[in-house]
Amino acid sequence: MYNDTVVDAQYRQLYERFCQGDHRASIELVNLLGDRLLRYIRRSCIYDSYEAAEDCVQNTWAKLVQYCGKPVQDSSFWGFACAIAKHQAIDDYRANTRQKRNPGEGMGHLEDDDQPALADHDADPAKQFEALEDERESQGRLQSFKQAVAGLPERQRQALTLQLAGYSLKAIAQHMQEKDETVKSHLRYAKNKLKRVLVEASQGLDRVVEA
Amino acid sequence: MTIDNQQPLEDDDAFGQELAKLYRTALLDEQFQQQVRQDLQALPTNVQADLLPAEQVFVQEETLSAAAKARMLDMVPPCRQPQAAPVKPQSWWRKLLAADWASSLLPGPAFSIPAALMAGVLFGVLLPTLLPSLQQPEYVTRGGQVDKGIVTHPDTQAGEQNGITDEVRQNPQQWLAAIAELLRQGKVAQARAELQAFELQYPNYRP
Repeated sequence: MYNDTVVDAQYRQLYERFCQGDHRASIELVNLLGDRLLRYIRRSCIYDSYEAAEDCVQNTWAKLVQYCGKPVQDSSFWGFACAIAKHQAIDDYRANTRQKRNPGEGMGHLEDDDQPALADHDADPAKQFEALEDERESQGRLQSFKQAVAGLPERQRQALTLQLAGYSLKAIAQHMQEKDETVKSHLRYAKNKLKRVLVEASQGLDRVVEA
Repeated sequence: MTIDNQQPLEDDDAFGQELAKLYRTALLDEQFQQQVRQDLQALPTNVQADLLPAEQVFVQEETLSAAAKARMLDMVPPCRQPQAAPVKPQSWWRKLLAADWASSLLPGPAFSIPAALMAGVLFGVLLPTLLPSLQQPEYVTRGGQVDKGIVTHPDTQAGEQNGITDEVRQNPQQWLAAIAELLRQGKVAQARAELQAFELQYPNYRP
């Protein structure tokens, strides 16, 4: 959908022009980047409501505005904007959780995602090393998971996606217009493959550490 | 660990939870989002409409509201925010005409206090001391002709017309006697003018 290199160069150019006060560039950038950021935030399933996601996009934009004049270190401008949006979303989630004192279900990954695991073990190099290893392992597992899911046949992937999104077996069968047993089979094969890939990834990492 | 693909493993809860967590984390990646979107869009259209709101966002192309875009466009980069215009130095005559001209023209106390003291010393002590010695002698020409190069006293000119010579004026007693003669002759105005000239010449004269 997005030709990353070309689009990123366009974002960067528009952002520079916007920072120099070009109003036309700001309109173009808001139209391009704003909508894409909104979809990214909405599809990351951090926010339940459209309004909250819209607020997150606005806050992200405000931070980009404040960043004007400073060099964008990230190789990708979109990655830079995404990182700001993600941190904003995580901050909002934490603030919301503190306010409600009732963490949302299934959002534990946000707590893990941005936690500087080294912060608690600054004084102990051994623990620092362990935290680094954990971080690398979790990143490796995530990468393997994404690759494995991408490599699944379409029907298996659809069934797995719906199940991971929280649909019941019956609902998945209904949505996929298949029999329950067929869906079960899709899920079984998909999970077997994922499990194998994840185990291999762990073993590979272990070998690297041992070496 | 060897896993046989033909003999599927049991779906244990721990692995299911791990997969769910990995799925949620992977959703933070836009590429993964695109893949989920393609899978969900591959479902029949009537099924897509029945998806939960969380999955509806994948099959719909949502856009920002016009109000949100307007709010974003209102945000101006820090370098473009209105700043105070550079102050152009005012010309002296504008300062003079300004309502608060005195505040800009008067020097600060660090200068004005020593300057006032110096001025006081100058006018109160030095000038009264020096001025008497700087007084020039008055010269009067003979015959009523005024030499333009020499400062002359007007009353002295009048005295010549009254028949009082320069030699007489050198002697105060003779000058007073000449004034008395003028009075006797009834030339009161001339005598008064000569007397004024005499008082100027000899301010504290006592016979």
